[in-house]
Amino acid sequence: MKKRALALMMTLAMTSAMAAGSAISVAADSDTTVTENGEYSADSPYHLVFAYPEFYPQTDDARATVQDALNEYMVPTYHIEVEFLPLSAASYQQDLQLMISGGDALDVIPVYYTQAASLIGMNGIVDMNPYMETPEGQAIIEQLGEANAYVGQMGGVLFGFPAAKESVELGGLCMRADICDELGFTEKYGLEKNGDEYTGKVYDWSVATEMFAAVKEAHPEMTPLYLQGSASPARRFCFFDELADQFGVLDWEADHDSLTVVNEFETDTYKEFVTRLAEWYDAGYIYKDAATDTQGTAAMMKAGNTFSYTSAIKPGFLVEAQASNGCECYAMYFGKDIEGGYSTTNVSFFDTGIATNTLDPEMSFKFISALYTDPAVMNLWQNGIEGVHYQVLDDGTAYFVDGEDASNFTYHQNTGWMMGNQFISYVWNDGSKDADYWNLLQTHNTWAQYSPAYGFMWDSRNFTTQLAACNSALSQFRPALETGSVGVAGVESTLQSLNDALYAGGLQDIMTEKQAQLDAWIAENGATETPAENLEKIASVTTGVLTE
Amino acid sequence: MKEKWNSPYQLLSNGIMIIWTILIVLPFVLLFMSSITQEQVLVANGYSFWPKEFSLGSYAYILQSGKTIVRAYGVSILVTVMGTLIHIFLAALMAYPLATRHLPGRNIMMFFVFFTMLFNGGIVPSYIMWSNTLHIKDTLWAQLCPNLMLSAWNVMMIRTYFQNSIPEALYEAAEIDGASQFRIFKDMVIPLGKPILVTMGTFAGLSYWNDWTNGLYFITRAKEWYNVQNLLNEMVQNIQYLSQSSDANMAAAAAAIPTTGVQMAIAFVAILPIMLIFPYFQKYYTKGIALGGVKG
Repeated sequence: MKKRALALMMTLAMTSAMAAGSAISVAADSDTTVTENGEYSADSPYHLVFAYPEFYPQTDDARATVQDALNEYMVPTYHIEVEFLPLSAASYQQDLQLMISGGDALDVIPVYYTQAASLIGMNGIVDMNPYMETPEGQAIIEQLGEANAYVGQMGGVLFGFPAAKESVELGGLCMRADICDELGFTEKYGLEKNGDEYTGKVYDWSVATEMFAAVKEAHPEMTPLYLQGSASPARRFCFFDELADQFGVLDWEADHDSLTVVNEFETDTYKEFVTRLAEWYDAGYIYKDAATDTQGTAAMMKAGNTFSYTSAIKPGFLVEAQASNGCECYAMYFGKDIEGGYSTTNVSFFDTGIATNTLDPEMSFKFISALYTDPAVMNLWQNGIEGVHYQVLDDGTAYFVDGEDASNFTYHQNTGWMMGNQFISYVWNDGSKDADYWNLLQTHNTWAQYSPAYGFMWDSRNFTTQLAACNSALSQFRPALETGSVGVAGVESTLQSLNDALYAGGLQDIMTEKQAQLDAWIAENGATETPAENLEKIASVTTGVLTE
Repeated sequence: MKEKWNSPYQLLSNGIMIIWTILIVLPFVLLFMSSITQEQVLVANGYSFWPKEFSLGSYAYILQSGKTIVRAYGVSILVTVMGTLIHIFLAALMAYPLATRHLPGRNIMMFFVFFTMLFNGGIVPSYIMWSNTLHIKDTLWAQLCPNLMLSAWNVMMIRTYFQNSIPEALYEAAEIDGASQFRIFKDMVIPLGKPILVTMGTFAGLSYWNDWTNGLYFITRAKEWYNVQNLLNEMVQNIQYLSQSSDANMAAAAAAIPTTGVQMAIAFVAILPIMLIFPYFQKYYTKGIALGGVKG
């Protein structure tokens, strides 16, 4: 009996292996791609609408040329004809929602992690789990790793693949170089031009207090620190696993392995952070209109009366910062070395998924797979046509063709950090990066400790009302709290009002549900552990937090 | 007899009006001044009525960036002129029959007009209707048709004027003289109704000129049909969105967007035509509103 079962299994295994083998070989030789929904060939390709946000202005003609060039490659290879649909950066989420409910032609779309719940709720997004066993799905897993590939999952729906980027958020201050030189910071803290790679050197925020005091004394007309009410600097000062929305978090700083969902705004960690800012504000270190200001860091730095601002820092950060700030800058890591961890929120920030408007999800999936695995596709979409829009330099990086630069280019998306896998495309040489840059970014990720809840995404579909109420409570109090504008005297009472408003909005419901889902997830998957490689790396250079 | 200029009543009312006028004019002055302030000064010192350093850099930028802004400006003008004419034509055609007392079923028709003032289909159904059934997406019609082409409110105003400010006897006289309905409409109602038509035309023109929602919802691919307001809206929204993000990549993208000064300059250029045209329509304005709607 046993023998027969074994024989049967072996036969089955062999047949399926043969089937798989022949399927692959057919796909490779054949002139047609067959899916459940249709049959496509080079003569009748699948017409696919690819929506993506465009952050930099492109020339329409150039975009059309690139689209043609992409199709020249796509049609014979994949039997897909791509139509670009660039959306405005600010309104792409609303646009997509309208287009999905309106039934417009739409296939591959960007998914912002906070939007996933509503897209799934309105049945607007295709669950990609069924396609993961295909060669295309396996190829994505090979690129991203098993854990990252499945991170964009909610309530059993795989809504998107995360963009390949640096996911660790270590950060600190970006400061004006000339003032640092003048006041001796450069020498004292060993600051270097373009020195933005993390080497384990991280300073306590009390050091920043001393620096601000020195700046204030030497240049009374200057604002030592620019903050902006609408852009929360919280992640620079304290780190939580935000569990997607900050309502109910894991208090990372208090206990690294904690699996208890707590209210972020009642923790000592949070209170300490806002109190520090309030002290700075009272001392005149923070821009006095910070709570309501909307000008942004680049404008303030350009104006020349701001010394520093808080930012996430990664290799290559300073070159970008200098370009937008119009002055030379130094970066310094502040906070605690354990900050900046790997959490579901960080990794799944920007995802690429399929809208349910698609006429053939399988073909759409093939295109997504191409974005993650085929350098030709990624290079064409991101950088344009080689020799027309960009050239490959001797060191293997890419740059604009002669005569073009950042001010007059016709095509250069520069959004590989948002959709697709930029690690397979050329490194863009903006002055500081070499061909090894993608490795450097990936190395940056190995600084991270993993949140025990990494991989867990809570299903928030039934809590949209509570989330909206909590969000509005937060946006009412946060700008004043997180810019220090309430003053030390006002911290306690403002925190109290914030928490009252949050609980009135249903925070407790959210936290209870989150905890229940998290417990179930842990019971099934076990807590995520930081890979040994990361622990070794952290241990090898950790000096503790420097206080001078 | 004319009242003396320095009578207490004249002084008081003029005083109030002068203050009122200043309050209305000053923001426009500030807008203009900030558009000719040098960018660095603008960011460092904020807006001021007399900037430390002047610069026409923002306007130079608009001219240089050429095609997009100038074209959007052209779209704005075209849409406003076409839209206003169509709007007035449709509204008058609708209002005239409703103003005739002996029209059968007039109340039911009035109800249909009135109903749309209270209820509408909502964004998503309207969107589906316009884009999937009528296929106006990414065409010039997207700027013209939705929401603005006919307004129930304007129809009611015009109807009231036709009914109350043009004496009933005139209609009867015309009919007795053998004029057809179309003749009465063309040669009598339109010329006599000029004040209200011009007034409502100004309203319609203003809403066409200021509208940005149509472009936002219905123009995603063919950005060449963006009007000035769409362009301005997109710039401001993008800046806000990008500068709010803590992501370093996004902050870098924010730097590529034109600065405050340019936005001010576009805003100023955008309101300029309205400011220039408005005084010419003012005389009709008082007549149309005071004699038409309110009295009726």
